[in-house]
Amino acid sequence: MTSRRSPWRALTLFFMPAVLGLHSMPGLGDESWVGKAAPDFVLTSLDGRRVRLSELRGHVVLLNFWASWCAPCRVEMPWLTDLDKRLGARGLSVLGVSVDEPDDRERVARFIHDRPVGYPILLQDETVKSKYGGVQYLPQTFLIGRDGRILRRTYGIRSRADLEQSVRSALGSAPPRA
Amino acid sequence: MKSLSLLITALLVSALIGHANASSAAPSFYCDMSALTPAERTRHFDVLGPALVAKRTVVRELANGYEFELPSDAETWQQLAEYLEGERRCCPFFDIDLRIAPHHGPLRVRFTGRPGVKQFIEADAPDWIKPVTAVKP
Repeated sequence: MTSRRSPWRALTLFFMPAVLGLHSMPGLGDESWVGKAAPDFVLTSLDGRRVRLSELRGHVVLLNFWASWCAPCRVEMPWLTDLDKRLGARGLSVLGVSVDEPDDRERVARFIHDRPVGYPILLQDETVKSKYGGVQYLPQTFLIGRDGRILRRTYGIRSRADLEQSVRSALGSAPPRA
Repeated sequence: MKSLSLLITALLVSALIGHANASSAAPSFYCDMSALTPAERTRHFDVLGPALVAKRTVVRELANGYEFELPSDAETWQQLAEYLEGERRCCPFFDIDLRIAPHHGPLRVRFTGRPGVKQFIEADAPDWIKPVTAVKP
């Protein structure tokens, strides 16, 4: 027994995966995070300081998950250093969270020694990774507003201009706190 | 029935627009954390990569990437095959061509891809693209 199917149905079935797959594609902003409070954490930096995310309330935070073996991360890091240098006075704080293996602390230290950055490098623990969705793709960056809410989540790198535009937009959204 | 058709049309238009936006917003370059185990990563980046860099006999700049020639001995072939398998899994943004020249000629591997790949290689892989100073037999 056969039935003649509507061409609309065929077209709908053809395009539905594109609709449903949008949020799972690496690199797209994941809208489900936008507006949520950024999960708080305390992590130790390479130089031994304890950094608590919530203490940066009032700043715009670029929370960048990276790894020393991740080539796109290495390309992006100078961009982040540059943004931190130029926009820090306007209230931007960049935090780099290394997701290298816990045993690779020395490797991360060597990496940063060879390619210094101007912002704190934090050493991840599994709890933080989990709080931020598991961090399957790198680099992964959360743009957090002055109120501690997530404005944007991206995977991979796009362009320096795109990154700066979103940071500038976040910085312009409210005056920095005293 | 007419309203159902309108609804479906709206869905299709939304899908097309969404797909277009997704294409333009999709990132060029990313790594998949789960692609390689820590041990595989160490071998890939600390052993295979440097070994192959040292074996390059030709570096060829292309309009949209780079091509490298390597000797066609069995060890190099095995290292290159293993390396490319890692690249394929870890860094899926590369379009990789591997050619085996006839009569035991060199292995030629070409890394290209979407716009920006060449600049990406230049920014991240200076060891790979630096000129080969001594041509090996």
